[in-house]
Formats: sequence, C-alpha cells, structure tokens
Amino acid sequence: MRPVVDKAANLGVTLVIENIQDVEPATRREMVESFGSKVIALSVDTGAMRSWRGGAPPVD
Amino acid sequence: MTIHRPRRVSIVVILGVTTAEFSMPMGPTQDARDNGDAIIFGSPDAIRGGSHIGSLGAVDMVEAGLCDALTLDYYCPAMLGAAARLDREKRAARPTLWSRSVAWRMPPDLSLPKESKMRPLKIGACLRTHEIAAHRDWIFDADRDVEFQDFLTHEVLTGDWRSVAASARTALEGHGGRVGIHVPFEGLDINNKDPELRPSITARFLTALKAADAVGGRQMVMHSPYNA
Repeated sequence: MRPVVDKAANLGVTLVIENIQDVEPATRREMVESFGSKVIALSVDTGAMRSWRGGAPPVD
Repeated sequence: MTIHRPRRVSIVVILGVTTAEFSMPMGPTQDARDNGDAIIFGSPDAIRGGSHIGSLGAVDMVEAGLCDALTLDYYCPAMLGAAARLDREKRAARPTLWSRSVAWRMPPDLSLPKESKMRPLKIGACLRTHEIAAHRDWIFDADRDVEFQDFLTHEVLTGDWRSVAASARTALEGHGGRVGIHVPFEGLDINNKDPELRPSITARFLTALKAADAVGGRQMVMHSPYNA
C-alpha cells in the first residue's frame, strides 16, 4: 500500500478505507493511522455493516 | 491505539460522540459511565415504568445513578410526569430529579465548539457513467457528490480505462460537487502478504489512481481487509 499512498499524495487523491466485513472499527483506524498520511482516511459505510455482516448491529 | 470498549460503542467513539442516548443493554451504559459520557433516557419510558421493548428502564437507571438526563422524546408532558413518578417512587432525591429532567442543562464538555457547525446532509450518488443522464437534474442542481462505479472490474482497469474515464469526465461537465471512484476489490486484499502477489495488487491500485485522477476524482474508495 505504501506506493499507492505515495502516488495518491502526488495526485491529491484521498484513499478512503471502507468497512465491509469489519465489526471493530478501531482496527481499521489503527491501520489507516499507521501510514501517518492525510491521504488515507476512514470511511464508515453503515449499509455495508448491515448487508455484509447480516446480524451486525446497525449504528442507528 | 487500542480502544477497550464494546463493539457497539466503539464506532461512536471514533465519530467523537460523547453522549449515550437510550442505551439498550447494561454493557454500553456502564461503559459510557466509565468513559465520562453523558447518559440519557426517555421520559415516556419513566412514566410507563419500563421499556416497551424490554431494554433498560429509565426509572431503574435513575435509581442506579446511570441517567444524567431525561429527554422529552417527542412528548412534551412526559418530562414533568417522569419527575413526578420518580419522586413518588423515591427513586432519587427531588433536587436530583429536578436537575436531571426539567432543569437539565448541557454540561460544557458536551457543547459544540464555537467554531463548529453542523452541515446539512446532502445525499450523493454512487453510479455508473451511463446512469448519470437519468439523474442529471438531481445531481447537478445541488452539485451532489458522485462516486463512479465504472472501474470496479479487472476488465476495465486492464483495458481501455482511459476512454471510460474520458466518458465519465464528459458526463460531469459543469458539475460542481466532489467526485470519486470505487476501486476493484475481488481478489485484491490490500493486506495480502504474498510477496509474489503484492506487486500485482499494488499495480492495479496505481492504475485505479490514474483513473481517479483522469475523471477529476479526489477520492478513491477501497475495501477494508478486516473481517472481525
């Protein structure tokens, strides 16, 4: 991912990491923050949580 | 960073939320208390004497010291009625009931910083280029954000993605909202550990970045590798 993050910074594109089968968002946040870059960020997809996880609790 | 919190609560911590409203089970309620968050239950629940769906009861939570405020919950008379019932049942001292219902004020740490503003929600569109025409007015009139789904397949990104990007860009001429793309994800685990496969996956994402740039996109959506 490092070359992708570097290229994204060059182009001014932000990479957003979207939850799909995730249950625990803190793990994803740790991964995103580990790059120490503003061009990689979190995206919270509440629909994905419901549709991919089945029984996972919705955020509402 | 490690957040030792139940799953249901940890997502709101990331969003910066410091209020637990209508918490249903005890775990997140106690967790909110331990974290110093404000806990809110509903006055109608207190009047009724319990939750109609079997969740924690407001009267019990007041008595347990796990309710900082009672809210009207869309029924204006409920607050005085709740205070009256809680007083009658001696669930808490009258001054406490008064301060947690009628006279409750948002504590300083819960108020929004002066410079912050809540922006009105504006729904964007996640679609393919050929679908833009059918929704053109809705998208353009409000400059809604657009996420292109044209680049989700390996066929596109190993083929003539430049033409696809050019069509996408043309379709959005005159559009003032933000633009992004969704990248492929099938078989492209961003956390793949195989040294033979990693360069291929990286290369595919680098191509996707070029496509994002070519459509004028400033955001690229990728899938999380986690499943727990």
